[in-house]
Amino acid sequence: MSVPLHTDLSDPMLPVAVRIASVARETHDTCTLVTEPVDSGGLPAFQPGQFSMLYSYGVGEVPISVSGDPGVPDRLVYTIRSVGAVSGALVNRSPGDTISMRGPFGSPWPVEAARGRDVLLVAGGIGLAPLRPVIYHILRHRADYGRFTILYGARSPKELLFTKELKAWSAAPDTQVLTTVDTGGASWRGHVGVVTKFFRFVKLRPQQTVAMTCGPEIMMRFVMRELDAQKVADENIYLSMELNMKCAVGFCGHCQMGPYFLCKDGPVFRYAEMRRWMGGRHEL
Amino acid sequence: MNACLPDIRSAVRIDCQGLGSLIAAIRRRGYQVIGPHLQDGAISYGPIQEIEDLPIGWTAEQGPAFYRLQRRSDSAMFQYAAGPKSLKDFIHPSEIRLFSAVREEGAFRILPNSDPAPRYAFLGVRACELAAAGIQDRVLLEGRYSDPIYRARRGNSIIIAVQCSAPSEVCFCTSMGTGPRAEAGFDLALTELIGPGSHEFVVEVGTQLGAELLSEIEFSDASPDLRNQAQAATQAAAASIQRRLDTNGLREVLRDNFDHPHWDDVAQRCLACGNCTQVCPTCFCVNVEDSTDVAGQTAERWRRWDSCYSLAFTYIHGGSVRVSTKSRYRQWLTHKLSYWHDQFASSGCVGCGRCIAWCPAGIDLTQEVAAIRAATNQTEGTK
Amino acid sequence: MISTQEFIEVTKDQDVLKAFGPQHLERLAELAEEVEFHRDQIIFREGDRHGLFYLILDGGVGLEIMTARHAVTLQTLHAGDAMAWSSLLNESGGAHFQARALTPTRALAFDGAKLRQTCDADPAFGYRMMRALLSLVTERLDVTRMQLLDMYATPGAMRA
Repeated sequence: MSVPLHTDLSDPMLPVAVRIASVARETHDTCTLVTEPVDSGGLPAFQPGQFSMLYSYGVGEVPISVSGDPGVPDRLVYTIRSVGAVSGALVNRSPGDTISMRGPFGSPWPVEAARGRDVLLVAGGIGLAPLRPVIYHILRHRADYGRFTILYGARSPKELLFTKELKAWSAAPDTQVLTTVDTGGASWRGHVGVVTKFFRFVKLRPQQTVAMTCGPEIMMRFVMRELDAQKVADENIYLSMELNMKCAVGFCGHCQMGPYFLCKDGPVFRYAEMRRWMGGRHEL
Repeated sequence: MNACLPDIRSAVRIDCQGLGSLIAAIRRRGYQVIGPHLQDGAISYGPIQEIEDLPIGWTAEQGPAFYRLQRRSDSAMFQYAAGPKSLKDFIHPSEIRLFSAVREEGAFRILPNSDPAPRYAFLGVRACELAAAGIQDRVLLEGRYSDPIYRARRGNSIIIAVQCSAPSEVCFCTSMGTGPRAEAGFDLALTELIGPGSHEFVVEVGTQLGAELLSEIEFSDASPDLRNQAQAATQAAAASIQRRLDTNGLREVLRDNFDHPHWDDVAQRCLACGNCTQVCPTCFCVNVEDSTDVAGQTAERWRRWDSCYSLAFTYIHGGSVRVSTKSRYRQWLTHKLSYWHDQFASSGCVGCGRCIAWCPAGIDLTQEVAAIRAATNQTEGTK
Repeated sequence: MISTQEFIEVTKDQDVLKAFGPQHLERLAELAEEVEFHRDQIIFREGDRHGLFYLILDGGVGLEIMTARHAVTLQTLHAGDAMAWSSLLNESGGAHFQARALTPTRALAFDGAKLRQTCDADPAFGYRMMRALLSLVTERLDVTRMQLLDMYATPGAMRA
């Protein structure tokens, strides 16, 4: 699969400045930043599933998946969860601030290969963000795809991302959106339990389904187990992997998992490639 | 000075004075000559101004966790095996600034590094080191992206190789198919021949640049007898190498023995110090570190060698992935000898033996691999 | 009781009954009543000794536990899930949780005591029944373990 390269090839480690156009608070620890070009140079296009290295001046750089609409040019949108110094600095930015980025990098979700087929997305927690560009793309080209199913699990109702959009997406033609949480709390009237429980009543057509999943690795392994039981072939299952990344271009060596550099061979892999290395086969 | 240009792939003869002239000729072209010299109790690579800077009359004895300088009875300059440093120390430097940034009117501006890359001429490079540079080329130059720092330094460099005639006890280049004879990848390759009353070099010409350098100094034809002596010296070196790494099916053996009990055995001895990764001429991993001055007016990004033996190497929000020493040793060895094939279509090991000599615990990868193989075969035998 | 025919019809999508032979299905039908709950209906409360064992046919049920102030949903159950195992296993026990229909819900209700007696009297049937129950319990246990991992909360948990 060919991926367009927008980073300065003569120096892939050199970031470019972008301006923050808006900041939207999603949950207590997660924000969505919309970035725009600082000058007339424009911003690179991206493919759903790709990520950028976002640099907070002097603090450091982290890989963040693009979570925006691939059909909107000159805007790169990132949904960032504050889990450390750099991501913490990024979510505290204000509109008008400048940050820097390198990228986008990495392999995309197979939105072209999935054309004409049913698409199943299974997301967990912040893992919905890297899948959101797929949702935008499919809803924009709704007639090009078959049944569209989005399964989403989060920790609790207040940690659900994009709640308004979830409602809007479920109203799209032939589109099913099911959301569940681990802990419901008092006012929650929705599902409680793991996202894989939805496989009980989501009727897949395994021969024509392309599945894409992103979330905690444990969740993805359980999703694989269900998809296996439903007879979805390994080569039609895609997942997005995450490890420590320092360079995003395969030089730093940090994000290796078995024979793969997650940054340049991934982050999106076919399950057939990744199955051998999941479940701690690279660690301990 | 010879008026004629020797042919590429021909061989000529120079003496010690000729070598001195060669160093001078290279320096006249604006290159910094990096060659073997005595440093910190080892024969290491460093700046060479003249022939006297070379470790004349020195050699080194090596073994697992063992490196000792020794006096020779003659004035040989290149009769020792690879020391702790390699080309990597210069073309993939241990620390370098990637950029700086300054704060201006609330925003900040990125200033790329504009320092020109140093022009290095490497003297005394062994076949195993050339193979290692070839491997680093595949990692840092020949993929989808190329590293501009490496590209500039490597592209600018002159290589004066030395055909190895004194391998050490830790060498196993013959197992890896990387030496002791260098066939390509150099501008010039010297074979040092030293005998009673004679000290001379057969010089093979690898490139046009090498030929031009020779044309600036005194050389004579290398007689057939002298060339035979040079060939015999590397043949004898090859024959003297005892250490073996059985590479047959090694890629699969390591890949398929993730849970082998021998990893626990190695982990008992491994200190996770990362020495092996620092001296390995192919290990390329780096960390990227950002910082600011106290006032926050300038920021910098530095790239520094990193090691897969460090706990922080796999740190991701919440903790590290490879927590145990066992997992980190296994990652290093399996990457080097197995995954490297998947990633870069060759082994990541050149058989230089540095990781054996410089391991403070004397861990010898050839023995670790043999142990995993032996136990694997045993298990299969009992099936 | 409902007719065997009817029983087979309403349970045709229930994987958990796939291994039951015609005679065993007939036994189950003899002990089953089809029941319906409206949205928000409390099906049973914590401590209730209702004596019924349920297999959900469609809809959704929240298993809740009362805190000092309000009900917290522990898990939601759907078509194919069973609830009120205690009625099948233990004569004296009351319900451990409260069950509330989240949507209009249809279920089969079995007389727990009679079901247990049938299992005791016919070990082949009982064995089949216990295997079915065990598979449901295993699944429920898996779900609970996953919830306990709190894997979305602590990024480190994904490598636990």
